[in-house]
Amino acid sequence: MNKYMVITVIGADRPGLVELLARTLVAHNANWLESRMANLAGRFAGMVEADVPEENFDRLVAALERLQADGLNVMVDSGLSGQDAGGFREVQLELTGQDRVGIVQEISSALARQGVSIEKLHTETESASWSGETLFRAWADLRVPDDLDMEALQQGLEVLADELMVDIDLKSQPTA
Amino acid sequence: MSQTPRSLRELQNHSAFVERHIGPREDEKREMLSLLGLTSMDELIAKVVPESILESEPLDLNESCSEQEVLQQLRKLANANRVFKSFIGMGYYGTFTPPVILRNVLENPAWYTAYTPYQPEISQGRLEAILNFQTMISDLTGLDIANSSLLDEGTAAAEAMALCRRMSKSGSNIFFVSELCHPQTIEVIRTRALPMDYRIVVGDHRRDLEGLEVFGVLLQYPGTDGEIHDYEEVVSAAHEKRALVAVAADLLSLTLLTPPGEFGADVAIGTTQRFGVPMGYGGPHAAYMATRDAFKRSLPGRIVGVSIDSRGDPAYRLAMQTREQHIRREKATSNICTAQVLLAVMASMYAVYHGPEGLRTIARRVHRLTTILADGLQQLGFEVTTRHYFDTILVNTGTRTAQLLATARSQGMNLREVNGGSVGISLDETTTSEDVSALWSVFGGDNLDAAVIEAAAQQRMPARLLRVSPFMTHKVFHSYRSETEMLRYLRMLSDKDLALDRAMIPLGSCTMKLNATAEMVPVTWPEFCDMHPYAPVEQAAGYRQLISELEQMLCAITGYAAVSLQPNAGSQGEFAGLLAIDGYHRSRGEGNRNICLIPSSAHGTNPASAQMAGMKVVVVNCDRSGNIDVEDLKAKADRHSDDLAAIMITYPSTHGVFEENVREVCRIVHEHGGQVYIDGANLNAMVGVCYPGRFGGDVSHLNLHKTFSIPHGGGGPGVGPIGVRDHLKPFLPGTPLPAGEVSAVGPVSAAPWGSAGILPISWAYIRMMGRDGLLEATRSAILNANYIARRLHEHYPVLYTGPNGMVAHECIIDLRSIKETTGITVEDVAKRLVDFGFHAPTMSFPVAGTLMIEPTESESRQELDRFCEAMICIREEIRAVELGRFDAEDNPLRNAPHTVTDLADEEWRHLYSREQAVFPVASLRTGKYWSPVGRIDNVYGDKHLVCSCPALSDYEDKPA
Repeated sequence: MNKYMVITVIGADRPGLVELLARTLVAHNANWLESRMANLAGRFAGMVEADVPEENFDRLVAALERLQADGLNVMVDSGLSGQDAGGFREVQLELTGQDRVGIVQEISSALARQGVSIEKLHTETESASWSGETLFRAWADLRVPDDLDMEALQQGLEVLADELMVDIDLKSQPTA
Repeated sequence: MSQTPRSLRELQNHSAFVERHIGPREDEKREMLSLLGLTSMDELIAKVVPESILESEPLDLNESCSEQEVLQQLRKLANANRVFKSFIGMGYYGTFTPPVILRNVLENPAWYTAYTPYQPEISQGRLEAILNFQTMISDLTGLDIANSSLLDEGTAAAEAMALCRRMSKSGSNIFFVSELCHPQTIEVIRTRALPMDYRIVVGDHRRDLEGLEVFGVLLQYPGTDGEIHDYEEVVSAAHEKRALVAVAADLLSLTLLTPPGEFGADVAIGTTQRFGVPMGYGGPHAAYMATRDAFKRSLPGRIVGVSIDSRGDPAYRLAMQTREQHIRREKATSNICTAQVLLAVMASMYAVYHGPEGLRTIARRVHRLTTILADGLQQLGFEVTTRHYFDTILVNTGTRTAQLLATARSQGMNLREVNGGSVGISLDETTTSEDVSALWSVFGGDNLDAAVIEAAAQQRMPARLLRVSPFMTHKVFHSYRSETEMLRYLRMLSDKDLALDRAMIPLGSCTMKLNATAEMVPVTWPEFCDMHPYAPVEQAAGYRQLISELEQMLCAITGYAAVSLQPNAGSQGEFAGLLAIDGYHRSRGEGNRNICLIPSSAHGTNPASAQMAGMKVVVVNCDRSGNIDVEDLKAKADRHSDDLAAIMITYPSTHGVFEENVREVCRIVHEHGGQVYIDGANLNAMVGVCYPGRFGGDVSHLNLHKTFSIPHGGGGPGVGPIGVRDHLKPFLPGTPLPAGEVSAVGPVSAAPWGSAGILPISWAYIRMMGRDGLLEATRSAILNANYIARRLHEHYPVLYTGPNGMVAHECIIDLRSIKETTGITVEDVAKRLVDFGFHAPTMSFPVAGTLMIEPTESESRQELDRFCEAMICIREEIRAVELGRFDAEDNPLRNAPHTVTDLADEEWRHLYSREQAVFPVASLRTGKYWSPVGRIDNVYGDKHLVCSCPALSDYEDKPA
C-alpha cells in the first residue's frame, strides 16, 4: 500500500536543489508524481506530489527534514487522499489589470464566494504600453463546481472587472 | 569670371522646402549611409523593403513647390470659399477666438507640436490646461467628473450610448433618442448602434417613452429646434425603468440654465466649439462628456488626474490610463485614443479668459438678441413656434420658406430649413444688433424700431429652469482678466512642457515629424475657419476643391481607388474601414462573416475597433522574429473560412519591420473570403516606395497627424481618413445628413468631412514635398532609424530586424535583460532622458520592457547624435549600477528626473553628485530643459482620484 504525500520545499536558490530532493525520494523508493517549482527573487520554492510505500514513509519524512541542513525547509502533508472525485471541472482564467494592492485578494474572494478553488496561480507584473505603468497579469487554473455555469462565473467576475479595470478571460478547455 | 552662370531653374530652387523638411544634409546622409556600409539611398531601400512589394515608378504627384507658391495656391482656394454669416446652429456657432489665445495657443508650436501627455513630468502645462477643461465641464454640466475631450458631439453621443449600455441594469437593447436631437447626432448613433445590435427608437420624449423598456435615453438641451424642455420627469421615469439618461447640452446655455446634473441626468455630452474654437467647416473641435462619480471608470477617453511627485508635491497625470491600451481590448465599448486636446485647451482658455461672469454676459447678450429678433419677427406677422428658448428660434414660414432662405443667402446669411415649412435661426457670440436688423429685413421688416422692440422684449427661458448654482468658482477662472496676466499664464504653462519646438520626440509609431509653419498658416484664415459644415455646398467651392485634390493625392500615395476624409481620428478610421468590410460582405449575402484576425503585436485600438464593428477577434501569433506566424494564420484562416471577415495588420509591422511575407498573408486571407485591413499608422515608411492598395490591402486608414504633418496638438486633433479599393467604394461612410439616396454605411462623424479645417495642412505638405520630396522623406526616415539602430546596437540589443539586419522607420531596443541584472526599468530610462532634455521613446509598445524609437525624416544629424549620446551615456550609468559603482536604488536613473528644487536642497542626500544628476553631459550646461516636477506617482493618483482643479489648500499641505 502506497502513501500519498505533498512535499513543500523552500530555500535560497542554488544549483542542485531539485537533484537533492529527487535523490532523497528515490532512496526511499518514492514515486515523483507531479510538481511545481519556481524561482522568485533568488528564493526557490517547490511542491512535489509523490507516493511512497507505507513502510518507508517515516524514514522519508525524517530524511526530508534533515535537508534543512542543506538550506531547504521542508513541509510534508500526508493527510490527503489524492484527487477528488468528480463534481468539478477545470477552467482557465487569464487576467490583466492595473497593479494595485489587493488585486489578488479581491479576485480570489470573488471566486471563493462561488465555491471556486484556485489550483494553480501564476502572476507577473510588467510595464504597460505607452504609460509605462505597472500592469498586473495572472494566469490561473480554477476548479469550478459543475453546478456553476460559466455565465454565472463570468458575471460574478465582470462586476470586479469594472471595479478593478481588469480584463478577465475565462476558457473552459484546458490550454496546451 | 568665366564661370557659366547657374540656371534660373536651379536658382529658383523649388525644392527648397524639401531640404528644410528633411533633417540630414546630403553630405551627412552619405556619412550615415557609410556607417551602415552602404553607398546610396537606393541600396538602403533595396535592403529594407522586400523586393516583392518595392515599386520603382515615381509617385503620380506634382513636383515640389515652395512655401510661397503653396501659400498663394491656398489663398486662391480660400478665396473660392464664400463665408456667409451663419445662423444655422445645429451645434456649430460663430465665436470669437480671443486673439491672445489664437496666437499663443492655436498658432503656437509649444502647444500644437506637443504629444499626448503619456510622460506627465514634461507635460505639466497642458495637463493643467486640460484639468481646467475638465473642471469647467463638470461645473457647467453639474456632474462629478468629465473627461478631456471626445471627437465631436455625434460620436460623443454614441459613446454615451455605450456607457449607458455598460452601466444600465436594464435588459432591454433599445436606446431611445429624442427627435429633438441634432439630425447628424442621430445618424452617427444609428451607425454605431447597428453592429452592436442596439435598437434605436427616435421619438417624442413626452409620448413615446411610455411603456417602452430602454437601457438609455438621449435628450437634447435645448432641443435642435431651440425649445427648452423641462426633462426632470422624463429622467425619473427613465430611472424607474433602470435606464440611464444622457443629455446633449449646449455649453453656453448652461451658464444660464439648470445643468443636466441637477435634473438627474447620468451623462452629459456636447461640443465645446462655441468656446472660442472656429467652426472650420466641421472641425476639429473638442467634444465633452461628464458623468456621475459612480460611472467614472466607464468614462471613455483620456482623463487628467492629480497625483503627487517624488517630493510629495501635487502633480498632474493621465488617470486610469491603462484602460485604454491593454485592458478590455476585446470587450471594448470605445476605441478612442487621440482626442482633441489642442481644441480642449483653447476652449478651457476661453473660459479662463472670460470667467463665469464673462460667459454669462455673452450668454445673456445672445439670449437678449434672440428675444428681440423673435419679437420683431412676430410683429412682422410671422409665428415663432419656439416657446422657451435660449439662442435658437423656429419660425413658421410655410410656403415662403424657400424664398426666404434664398433672400437671406442673397444678403450673405445662411438660415436653417426645417421640415420644409419652417426656418430655424440660431444666434451666437458674434451676432450684433445690426445682424438682427438684417434678419428682419429678410422677413420684410425694414421699418421696425429696434429700440421699441428691445424695450418690450422679455426673457424667454423658463423661470423654473434658470440656473442658480455657481460654476467655475476655482481661482483659475478669476485670475487672468488682464491680457498681460493671460499672456503670462499661457507662457508659464507652455514653458513647463517639452514639445517639438524644444527637442526631438522619438516616439515610435507616432511619427513626430516637422509641422511646418507654412502648413499651419492657412488654418487660421477666416475663409477656412468660419465656415459652417452645413453651409450650402456652393459656398464652399474652395474647400471642395481642396478636399477632392487631397483625396486624389492620397489615392496616388496609397494605391487605393477612393478616400473618405470623414473619420476625424485614427480610431474612427479603423471603425469606418471595418464597417466598409462588413457592408461589402453583407452586400454579397455573406453577413455571417464576423471573424477578425489580429496579430498579437497589434495596437490596442485594433481589437477595440473590431469589437465595435460587431466582429469577433481571433488573435494570430507572431514568430520569434516578430513577424506574423504564417502557419498559425493559415490554420486560423482555415478554421474560420466560412465566417472570416477580415485581418487587421499594420505595415511595416508594429515591430518596425517590413515583413517579407506580407503578400502571402494577404493572399491567404483573400483565399478564405476575408478582406485585408492595413493599419496605416506606419505609412511614413511606405510613401513612394510601396503601396498598401497594391500589395494586398483592401482598406487602410491613414493618420494625417503622423505621415502628413498635421500636428499632434498634445493629443489631438487627429485625422484618420480611409482609402479603399474599388470594390469597397460603395461602403465608405455616408453623409451625416442623408439627402435622397441612403448610403450603405452610415456616417462615422458629425460633419461630412470630419475635421475639414485642418486639411490644408496635409494638402500643403504633399504639394510642397512633391513626388520626389515625399520619396526622399521616406528614405530619410528609414535612414535615420537605421542610423540610430546602428549607433545604439552595441549598447542595447535591437529587438527586431528584417532579413538584412535592417529596421524600417523605427527601431525597438530591448531593456529586459538590463532590468533582470540591475532592476533598472524602461520607466527609469525614460525619466532619465528628461534630464538630458528629451521626450522618451515609446515605452513598452509593442513589447513590454522595450523602447521604440522613431526619429522621422525631420530630425537632423546633430539631433540624432545628441540623442544617441544621451542613450549611450545612460547605458554607462546602467553599467555603473551593474558594477556596483552606483547604488542599486539611489542612482541617477531611479531618481530621475531631477528638478531645480532637488538641486537646491540644503543637503544633497544622494550617493552621486549634483553634477551627475543634472549635467551628465557638458552640453547641458549651456541649455537645459528642467523638469518642473519630480517623478510622478501613478498608483497614488489612481487611488486618490481627483479629476478637477484641486483647491489651493491642497498645494499647501503636502501629503505625509
